[in-house]
Order: sequence, then structure tokens, then C-alpha cells
Amino acid sequence: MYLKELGFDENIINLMIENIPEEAVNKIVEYKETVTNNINYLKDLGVTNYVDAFVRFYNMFLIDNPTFDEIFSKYDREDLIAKLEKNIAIMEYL
Amino acid sequence: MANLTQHIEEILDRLFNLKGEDNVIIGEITTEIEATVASINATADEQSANEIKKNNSEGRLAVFKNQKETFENAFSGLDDETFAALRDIDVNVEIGTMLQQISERAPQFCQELSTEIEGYKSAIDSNIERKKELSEKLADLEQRKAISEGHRERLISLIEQSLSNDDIERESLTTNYVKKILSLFDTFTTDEINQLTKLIIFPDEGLYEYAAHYEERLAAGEVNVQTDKVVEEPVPEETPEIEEEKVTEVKPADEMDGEPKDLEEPTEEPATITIDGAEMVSSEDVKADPSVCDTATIIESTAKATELYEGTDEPIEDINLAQTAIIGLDGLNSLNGGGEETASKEQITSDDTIVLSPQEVKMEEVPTIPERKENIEEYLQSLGLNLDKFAELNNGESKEIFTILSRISHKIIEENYEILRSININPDVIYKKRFGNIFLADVDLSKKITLLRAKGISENKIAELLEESCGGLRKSFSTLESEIAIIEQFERKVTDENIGLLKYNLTLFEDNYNKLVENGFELEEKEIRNNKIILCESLNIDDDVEILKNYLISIVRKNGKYALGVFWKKPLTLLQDIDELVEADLENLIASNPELLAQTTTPLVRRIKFCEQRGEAIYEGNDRTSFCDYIVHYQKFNAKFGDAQLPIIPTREETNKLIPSIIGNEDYVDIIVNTLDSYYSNVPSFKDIELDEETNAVFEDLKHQVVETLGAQPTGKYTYRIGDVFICKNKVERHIRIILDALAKSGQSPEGVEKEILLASVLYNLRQDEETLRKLASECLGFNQDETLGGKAL
Repeated sequence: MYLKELGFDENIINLMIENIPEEAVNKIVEYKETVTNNINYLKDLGVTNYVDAFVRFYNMFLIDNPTFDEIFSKYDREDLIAKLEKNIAIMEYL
Repeated sequence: MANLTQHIEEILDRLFNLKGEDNVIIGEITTEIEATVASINATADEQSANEIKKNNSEGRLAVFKNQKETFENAFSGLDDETFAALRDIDVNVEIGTMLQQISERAPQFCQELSTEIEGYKSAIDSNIERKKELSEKLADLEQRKAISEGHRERLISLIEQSLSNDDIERESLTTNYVKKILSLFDTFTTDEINQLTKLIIFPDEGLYEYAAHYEERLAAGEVNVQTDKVVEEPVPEETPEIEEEKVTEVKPADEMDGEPKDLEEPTEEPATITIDGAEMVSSEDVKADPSVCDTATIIESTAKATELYEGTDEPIEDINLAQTAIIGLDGLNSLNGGGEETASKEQITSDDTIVLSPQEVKMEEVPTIPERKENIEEYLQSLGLNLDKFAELNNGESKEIFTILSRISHKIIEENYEILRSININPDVIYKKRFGNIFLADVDLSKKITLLRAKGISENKIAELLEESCGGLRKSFSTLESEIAIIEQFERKVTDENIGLLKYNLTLFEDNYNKLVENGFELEEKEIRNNKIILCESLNIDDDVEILKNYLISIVRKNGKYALGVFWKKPLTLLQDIDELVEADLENLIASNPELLAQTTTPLVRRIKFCEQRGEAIYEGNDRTSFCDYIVHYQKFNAKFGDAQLPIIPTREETNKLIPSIIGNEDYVDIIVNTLDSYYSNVPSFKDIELDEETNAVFEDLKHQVVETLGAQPTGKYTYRIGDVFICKNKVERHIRIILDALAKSGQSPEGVEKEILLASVLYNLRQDEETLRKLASECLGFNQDETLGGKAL
């Protein structure tokens, strides 16, 4: 899966495939471009725990890129990174 | 409100007024709208009166000219002496004088009427002009009102967030974000904005107290919304900053730190969602009781789930999403843009390899036209197209594309080519066939582009939509039209900003959203945004909701949000996963962590069994509703235990094959097993099978026999316990219904084979090893283990 090229460990990819519904896996494959752009957005922003973010909130990475960017861009970058690193669960509250 | 100064109270009055439907801003605009509408109506009436007068004058002029002409024609050449003889009888007809009078007076009379007519015409023109101006003003006012409504919705959301019991929700507010929202209203001074921002970010400094008394004060007429304040300066729109130092004062950093469980666990108050005034099942309710689903808990949670699903008996009228408060404009904005593809999985064979779906593609409906018999490749080349690109950009599949194009008239191909070239798009788009559509062969391409232009979409945006594999323009024209209507319903108007919604399956979104609303779900804006893909793409919601209703399962998580990921599961999978969790004695997990229903169940059960076997903790302390992190999060389990060898769980098929030999009366039981196999393999209905009165009486009897004859002990909402084995009640009852229904339909009686039916219903799909299954069967029949192990038949 293309996630490997985005810095995901093969083990975590396999775990995801094994643990999330097949239809969700298919959507992640199908929406490759959207997911890639969103992961890269977080990476470029400097969010170090983006893998964890994806594993926990993969549905959010299927949001269209402009809306996804909008979620994060309204916050101060440094503060946002620090908060996400402290607790990735805040993702769904942003 | 002892802590608030009069000034602060005053600005809070104004702020809270702005939250209301009749706030001063919207009120002013509404008044202006009403006045404008009245002016339009008055102008229309005036125009109508002028038109009547003009028509009358024109009529008079026409009649006059006609009669004058008739008269002159009739008496032309006659004079006063022509009828002189008539004077003998006192009739004096002086035609000459009459003709002269007509000739003298007519021009002035005609002129006067013409002037009058011109006057009316001019008045009508000015009425039309005035109406146009007023209509523009009305449109502008309506737009301003819509914007103000949008601002109001954002303010409501902001205040709700500020007053939320959820620390994290409050903590996600930042100073600049709050200021940005407040500055939308052009009504507060900078100083007032600063004061309000502080109160919103730190609601315990007075906002809670103010909000608690607002309605009461409003009713008493004590709320003062008058202001003579003017905005001193606009608040700069800068990147909102997370006010760390202030936020951490509200909630210490360590509470946010580290473990995600902090966030998933409820805050001070239980997470409850109110549906039609009824409290919905909250995981917290279960959590409060450390025992394993005692009777009180079962009754309580069942009652609540019943409220959830049955409390909405009233048919939901055609849901007008525009009127549904749950999705405001911002919620719609949250749908803005979209993923690149909307084809179903069946249409996708790889990332970019698209299988033709003929029913989706209107171009293939076009009958073959003789002119297309000629070599299509030569023809395409003659247009200047590069044939190699068709193969290059479509995984080598150019032959099929040429076949499609050969069925399309040259006129359409040329028109489409011209359209695509005239829009500044990447030329590769012309060659790409995606989702069964190649633009060159799309008979409706011109109509689609015209529609978008008519809706005011910019050329750049159109180009963007064409370039994206599924920017929405590869859908049929009728789908496009209806989805644009859905966007208009949501957002009032289609714009460059929201047209990207076409990328999603909006029809399905609307269906799914309605289904959830009908079943009492109250989705928050952010939940819709975060789970947009599920709402737009999941085909399972209808049936999955039925299953959840049938089991009375609430999917409200501890943090009050819905575990919508559950809807990725196909109905049969969800059904069997629930049974599997119950039969793994994890009924409490469904109640406390419904988000785990969105995970694949077997690996979860294996992880738990692994921990049981290794003596590792499964729960946090003695609370059987609080699972360890590494149980809930598979990645944490992996981090803790590495690639541990997890226990193997027998498959359902393995169990089902053994059932005839375990129960005995093999031929008959084999038929029962086949009946159940057939039910599950034929995509069952997920509602209870309805039985006729007589069969239903047998069903009720057999249901009681599960407890009385087989010795099943109810130990939970969904669970029976027989010996050491847990059985899903719903599963057993479903199986009994299926079997009885099949027997009734084939005219057979269940008499004499009750035990076979009961045991097959219990054992079917039970994921236990053979030894356990045999032991269970013997216990059900009251035999000891030695008698039955080895396959003693009934």
C-alpha cells in the first residue's frame, strides 16, 4: 500500500488492514490522492505523530484537502504541533 | 450575577441577542426586506395602473383615428350644400363644416393622446427600473440576511463550545478564533471584543452564570440590546493562536498529556446526548456500574436504547436539511470540496484502473451512427489527438475507448474536443477514461459546462473539476443536476467554494443523513465533517441502523460522539461481530466502547483471549467497563506485546460442519444447518422474521425452553450462559425464527424435533472448539461430559 511511501511502517499498515473494516481499507486505497495530500500536509506542518493520527482517525484523512487544511490552518503551528503531540485525541475536536 | 459589571452584562446582552433568530441585525435586515417587498409591490401596482391607463389612451386614439378615417372616407368631396334639401324637414347636415372641424381639431386631439401615452410609457419604464433596483436591493438584503444567519450559527456554535462540559472542546477555543467570530458582527468595539473573548475562553469567570439566567432575564424584559457603540477598528484576521498559557490555566497540561484515554473518557459529567428530550444511552451510564451488566443496568440501558430508537416513532417529514439546525452553513462548508473518486468499490480494480460501468455512462446509450464505421483512430488523429496517449493514460486500455468513441457522432466528439480545449485544462484530461466516462464521448458535456456557467461557476473552477478524476463532472447530467440542487438546498447557492461537493455522492449523503436523523442521531457539525466520507460513501447505514435498533445498541462513545466508523461494516459482518463479541463475554465492551464495533472483531477477541491466557490485565482495575489501552488500541497492543502469537479461534464454518454429528439425528440437523447457511448467504433482512400467529406461539415456547430445557442463564442484555460458554440471546432467537419459518413454509411441524432446533440454534456460528461444543451440547441435555464426548447422539 502507498502508505509505506509516506513513512508508515509495514507492520502498522498490516495491523490497520487486519483491524479496520474492509470497506474502510478500500476507501483508503481508493482515495489515495486525498489521503496522501492530507498526510503530507500534516508532515509538512511538522506534526511528528502523524502515523498515530492516521491510525486513530483515518476517516478524517479522507476529508477533501481544502477542508482538511482548514481544520489545522486556523491554529498557530507550534502550539498545534505541541498539542497534537501531547494528545492526538484532540484531532476530532479541532 | 454578582461578578459581572453592568457594562459587561450589557455587552453580554447584546452578544446573546445576536444568538437569537430575531437578533437586532437580522431584525433590521428583515424589516428592510419587508419594506423593500412592500415597495416592490406598490411599484408593481403603480406600473399596472399606468399600463391600464396607457392601454385606454392607446385604445381611444386607435378608435378615434379609425372613426375619423371612416368618416372622411365616407363623406370625402361633400360640402355643406350636399344635403341642403334636408333642411326642408329641419335636418341641417353640413358635411363640409364637419369635415373641416375634424380636420382642424383632430391633430391636437391625437397629439394630446399621444403625449398622454408617452407619459404613461415613461412612467411604466420608470416603474420597471424602480422594480429592478428594488429587486436588486432585496437580493442584496436576502444575501446579507443569509450571511448574518451564517454568522449567527457560528456564534451559537462558539457559545456552545464555550459552555460545553467537555474540557477538550473548550480548550480548542483560541483567542484569535473567538475574536474573529465576534468581529463578524461589526457591533462590538475592540475593547468589548477583548472583554467578551476573555469571558468566552474562561466561561467560569461569568459566562456560565450569565447564560444560566439569560432566558429568565429575557422573559422578564431585563435584557438590554440597545447600543450606540461603533466599531473602532476591525480585528485583524490573523492566524489563530492557541493560547497555551491561558488554556493550561483552565486545564493543567498533565491532564491533556499522554494517554488518549483522557480524552475518550468522559469529563466531569456523563456524556449524554438528548434526543427529543430523552436522554440517550451513554456509555458512562454503564461505566458507573462496575458489575457486569446487572439486571438494573440491563433494564436501564435497554430502556434508554429503546427511547433512542423508538422515541422517534413519529414519521419524520421530508427533511429539509436547510431547516435542520444540525447542519448549519458551516456544517455545509464542512462538506466543501471532496475526494477525487466516488465510484463504488466494484468499479475500481486498482488505484487508477477503472472498470466501465455501462449503466452509469450515458454516452453509451447513443445509437451507432453509420458515419462512425470509418476508422476511428484515423479520425481522432485527424483532429490532432495523440493516439498513444489513450493507452498511456488508461493503463494500456485504449481499444475499449476507441470502441466507445466509434459509437459517438463526430459532431459530439468535435464539440467536446473544442469545449475541452477552450477551457484551460491539462490536455491529458482529454484522453483519460475514468469511472466509465471519457469526456470526448460524453453527449452531455456541453450541457454540464453550460449548467455550471449558468450557476456562476468560474472557468478556473470548471477546469479544476474536469481535471480531477472525479470532480463530479463524470456523473450523468441528471445526477449532476440533482446534486447541484442538493448543494443549493444546503447552502442556498452554488459557488466556486462549494461546487467541489460534487465530488461526493451527495444523494447518498442525504439519504444516509436522513436515515440517521430519523433514528434519533444528532450529529454535530464536526462529526459530520470528520465522518463525511462515511456519510457520502457507506451503503450500509440503512441495514446497520436496523441491526443496532434490533439489538438496542447505542453507539454513543464516552466522549458523547458517535462511533460512526461502525457503518463501514457490511450488515452481515456487523451482525455476526456483535454475536461474536457477546459470545466472547464482551457484552460490556459493546456498551462501554462502541467504537470497538468499528474494528474487526476477531483480532480484538484474540487479543483479549491472549491476555486472559497470559494473565495480563484486560480492565483498568476492577471496572469491567474500563478496558486497558492496549485492548482498545491495537497499535498499543502491538507495541506492548510485539508479534505475539494470538490464540486461534475456530471459524464459524468449522463449527457449523460439526453440528450434525454433535447433535445427532444428522440428516435432519443437516437440513437445519443448511437452512441457516442459506439465510446468511442470501443477504438476510436485518429485521426480525415475522411469524404467523401459530408459529409465533411455538417460537415463544421454544424461547422459554432455551432457559428451561437447555439451562441457559441470562447474564446480560444479550447474553446467556450455559456452563462456561456464553451464547448470544439474539442469535439464538433469530435462529429459532429462521428454522420455524422454514418449517412453516414447507408445511412441516417442529413437533418432536424441538431439541434439535434449540441446539442447532445455540451451536450455529458459535466459535468454540469441538470439545467445548460437545460439552455444551451434553450440558444442554443434562448429560455428563463423559457420556457425550466422543459423539454420543441425542
